[in-house]
Amino acid sequence: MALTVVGLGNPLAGDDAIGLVLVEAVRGAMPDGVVSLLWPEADALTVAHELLSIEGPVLLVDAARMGLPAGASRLFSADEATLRVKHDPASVHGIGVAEGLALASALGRKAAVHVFGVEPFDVSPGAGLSEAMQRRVPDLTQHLLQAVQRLCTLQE
Amino acid sequence: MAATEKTYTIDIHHVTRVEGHGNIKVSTKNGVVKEVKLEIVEANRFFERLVHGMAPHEVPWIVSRICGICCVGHQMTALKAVEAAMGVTPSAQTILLRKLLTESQFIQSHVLHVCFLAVPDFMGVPSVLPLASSHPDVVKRALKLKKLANDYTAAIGGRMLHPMACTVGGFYKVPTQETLENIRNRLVEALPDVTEMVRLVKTLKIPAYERQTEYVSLKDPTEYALYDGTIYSSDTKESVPVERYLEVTNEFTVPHSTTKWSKWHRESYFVGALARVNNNFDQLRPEAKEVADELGLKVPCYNPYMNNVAQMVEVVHCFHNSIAMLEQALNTGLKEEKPTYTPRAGRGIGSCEVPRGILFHDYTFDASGRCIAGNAIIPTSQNINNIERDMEAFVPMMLPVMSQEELALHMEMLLRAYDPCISCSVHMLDVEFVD
Repeated sequence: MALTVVGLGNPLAGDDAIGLVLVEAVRGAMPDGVVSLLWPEADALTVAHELLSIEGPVLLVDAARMGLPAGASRLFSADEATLRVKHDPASVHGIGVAEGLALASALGRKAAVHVFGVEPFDVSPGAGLSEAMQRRVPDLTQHLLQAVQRLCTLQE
Repeated sequence: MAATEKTYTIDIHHVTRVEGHGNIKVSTKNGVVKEVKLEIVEANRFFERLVHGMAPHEVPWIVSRICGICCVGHQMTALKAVEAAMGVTPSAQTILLRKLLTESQFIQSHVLHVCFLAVPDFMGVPSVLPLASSHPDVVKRALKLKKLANDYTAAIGGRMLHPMACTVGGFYKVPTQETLENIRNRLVEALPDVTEMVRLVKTLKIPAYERQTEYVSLKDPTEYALYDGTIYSSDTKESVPVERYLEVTNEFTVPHSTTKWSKWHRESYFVGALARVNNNFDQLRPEAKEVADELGLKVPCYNPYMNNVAQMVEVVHCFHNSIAMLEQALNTGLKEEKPTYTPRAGRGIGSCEVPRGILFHDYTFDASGRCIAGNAIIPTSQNINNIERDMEAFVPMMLPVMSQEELALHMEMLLRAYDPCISCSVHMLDVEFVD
């Protein structure tokens, strides 16, 4: 089943928009059959709802605090992220992205969810990526394309 | 254990599934309640100072950021306050669109709170995740409703969060007929999903606890008051104009809360869905009244846990009322307007109902149109006093029959039933030094 690549983020929160920027950048270079979508400003419940409408595997591209140097990226499965974030005691009106993914899973979504996370430099309010992140975009675009290729190969 | 032997120390640090930081402290010794406190430890965010120096049209967009859930309500209330100060009267079309936006926000917020934050309490599970396994159909429907409400806000306001289409005196861009039709059709199609949510709420075991208090909400002679009205008290059965809101809120401070407390005709008062339903039941849509009856909500209702049932009733009201308003907009058609105003000196006060209760904004501008004073009093800050009074009454009543764990859980449930937004409730303490 075709891979769906989804860019997440807030375009008004600096490097939080990196997922949107990267997916937009790789759209024309995706392998055949790969679907690309942008979910700007999607809250966790929206992510859960939208995931339920996609049957195949999904790659979420988003800014993520992973303890890596700023500008670095990492491909990981959503299950790992869920384990990590579940112990976060913070509870706001909404629920966390990891819980949103867990919710989709509990509601019967079986196909894999992968995350291409990018460690942000600056997520302060304001439109546009930080200058440091802008310089990283060409490399990150290549890394994302490699990640997509790898996931497509794994499925074959 | 005999009630006279019960010595409990409950210290819930950072209550979950509410917005912001609040702690609950309960202490009993040999069956006697020694202390019940709801501590609010959030820091001030200084929004009221932040708007100083801003132009009138900038204020509503800035204060929308007070809350990500009630952003529409803060924006609507600030717009009304600014328009009062600038002498601007919005058109009937603008008011209709603002009412649509307001109801979209009520659906968003209430669906989120009832289905994802409160229902787990009443079903004895720690979060919505176990419900996804036990009641997947209902949770999927709730997700669909939340998404629909988000799209509804975006369709009218330009985007889901902190809408940008609204400004002083009107809308920069009005939705197209096609957009209105799409939302109208989706709301109609989703009515069976709302019915399923009602069925779920009907199965909830609501704790049998009552305490009479004062219920305060907006009241409008022409409709169920969400966007406009006067400030009504269930104690006096009378209203006062919103311009006299300071006589209602009577804010004061207590040592254990960074949120200022409020009181009006008695020691505390209640705002929110239950206050609105209690005060304005007759003006609910017929479908909402039927659901209230089905869910056992009879007014006046003095059980704060029923606030979540009242929220469900309001979801039904907003669905049917929105469909009717969208029909009206489709029939009359919308036209683009050129909202404008002339800056001037003045003070304006606005009030709207937001999901958690009555909200007040108050701004003063100098002759150049720059904001020189701001005040925002949000529903949770008005409710905190009443929540603690409920806790004070609940603990001795339930101490004989509840274990420490049960009591702790019910304290959390009581707080969550009010759907508090603790971060937003903390606003700046005005200090005046007397020479």
